[in-house]
Amino acid sequence: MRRRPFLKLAPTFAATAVAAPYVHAQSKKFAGVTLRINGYGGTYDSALTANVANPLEEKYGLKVRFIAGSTDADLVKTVASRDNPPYDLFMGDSPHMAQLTEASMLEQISPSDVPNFARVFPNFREFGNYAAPFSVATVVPIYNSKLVKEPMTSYSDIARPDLKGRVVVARPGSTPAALMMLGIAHENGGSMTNMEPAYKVMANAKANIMAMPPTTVTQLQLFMDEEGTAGVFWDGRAHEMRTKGKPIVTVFPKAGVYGVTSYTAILKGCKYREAANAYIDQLLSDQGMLAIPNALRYGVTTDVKLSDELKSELLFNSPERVALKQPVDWSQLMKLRGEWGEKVNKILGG
Amino acid sequence: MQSTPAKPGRECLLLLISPLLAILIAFLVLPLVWLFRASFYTGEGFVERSGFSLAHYEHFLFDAYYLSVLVETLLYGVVTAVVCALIGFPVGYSLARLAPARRRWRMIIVILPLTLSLVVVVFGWVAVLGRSGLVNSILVASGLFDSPKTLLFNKTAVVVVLVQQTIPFMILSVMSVVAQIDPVLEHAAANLRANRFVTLTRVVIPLAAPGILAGFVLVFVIAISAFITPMLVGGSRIRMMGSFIYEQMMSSMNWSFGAAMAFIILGAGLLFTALLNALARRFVRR
Repeated sequence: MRRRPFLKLAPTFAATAVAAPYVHAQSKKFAGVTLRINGYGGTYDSALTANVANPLEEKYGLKVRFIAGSTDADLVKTVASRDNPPYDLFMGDSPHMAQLTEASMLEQISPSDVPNFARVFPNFREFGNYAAPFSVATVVPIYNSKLVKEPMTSYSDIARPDLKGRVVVARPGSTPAALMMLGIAHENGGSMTNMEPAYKVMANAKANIMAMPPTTVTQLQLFMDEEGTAGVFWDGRAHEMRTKGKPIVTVFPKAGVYGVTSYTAILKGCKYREAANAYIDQLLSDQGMLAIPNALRYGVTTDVKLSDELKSELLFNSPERVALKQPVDWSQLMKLRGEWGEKVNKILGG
Repeated sequence: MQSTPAKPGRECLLLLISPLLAILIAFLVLPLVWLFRASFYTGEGFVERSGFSLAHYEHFLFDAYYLSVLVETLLYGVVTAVVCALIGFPVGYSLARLAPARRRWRMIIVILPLTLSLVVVVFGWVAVLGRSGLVNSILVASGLFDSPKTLLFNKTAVVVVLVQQTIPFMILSVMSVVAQIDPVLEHAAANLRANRFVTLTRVVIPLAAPGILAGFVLVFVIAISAFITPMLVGGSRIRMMGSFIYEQMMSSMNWSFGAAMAFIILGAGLLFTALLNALARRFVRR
């Protein structure tokens, strides 16, 4: 090639080579957009990243950032800065959604913008179109079969004398602790409005309970380190420990179990509404819906097809078990759980 | 004739401190005012923010359980500060008497823990004191115990971790004051036939008292406001105000009661510090 044409063409080729990836990225629908979501941490966020965030980035150039922390604390931060919330979408359980609904902080999800929303089973739509349910988590008694010889069968077994100094439960006042209290009350003839039977069991369990960590991950660590050998914990996290080699047994109490539905909702003030819709649609798609059951064996909320192996390992794997899932009045629970927490603190610390 | 430099005027001093003042007002005073107001809200939730009531203060102050938590928290502060003074004074004294060149690396070692995140430090302790941790491994391997023991989740573990977190403040306070005590005074005491113990108790400690007191107050204030340590290391029966406030704010969502508790511990801390100062003033006068 002669010198003059080369000098004309070379800069054009160089500019094209440098700009090509950038132009390609910009051509995607949500290129340059980053959605912020509070995370649950650990395996949970990894599963959502692999099956929800990564496909969205691949398809639309949309980036999703999970900010891991305690969901209760995330809720407080969100409500405290309601005019400029720290997240675009909020991931939380039924009680958190009850609080956000009460605070009028959620945007309605339009089923026409989120086609997969129509696949959600009606009984999981506790908050109508204000939150997308994507997982079912239950608090159940668990124990380490290597270190606890007599199997546990109920929530109330945390008061058994042979478990002295080895029980780990969630911090009083938190959602899992409140659900545990309901489970204990229910097993002993109590109810949400009559917690006396649960308080009696907690008084008997005083010498057994060694720690009440503030977060799920801390509680998980105590079971992994074998500091705690028994307790009440999320069923999915118990499965996670089994996959890491710990002989953790999940118990399904005969009197019934208490759990939450996990949701993702769009917060008012979300700058990227269309991108948030795309996130929820991917979350409710087959790939997104199977992310959490595959990783943690939590239940599903849509008509997604489950493999026989996966179905057998889910907590609610039969109609009989589904019938034992107890309903909860979330707004009532949120009003009462502080009082229960105070009472438990007094019982255990007094 | 040599001229003395002019003293900076009041306006000039105000100008110099104004950036810090602005930061303090925006990020400390205003949030404190808001929190103080929140402690008088009538509701228990965090959505309802109105009304005026002393109910949350009454709830705390007329409940023997909460008062015992307050006393226990102050005791943790005192015990931590005393242990820090006992361990930190010799270290601070020895650092102050070293030549600056020899002091440098020792200072870095003292300050290093302050550069780490508190959560990392606490989790480090959990790993060290846990059943499968370093201490238990050594105890079992050496044959002292047949099986690992529970070293966490008790009062001793909480004090040990609090001391580790706060001792640099005591060491630095003592060191800065001892460095200004002329070593000639100790030599003079020795010339007057005072032994090392008498020199220490009659000369060094009285002169270093302001540094010990400053360190004591710093350690005390940090210890009584601790919440991560009692929650992660303390277990179910360790009761400290910080973790209760956290629980009210973050789990029970009862901001008003949490705010009232925060101001009660603030008031108790200030009162205790003032008492300590008054006592120290009397001690120094003697």
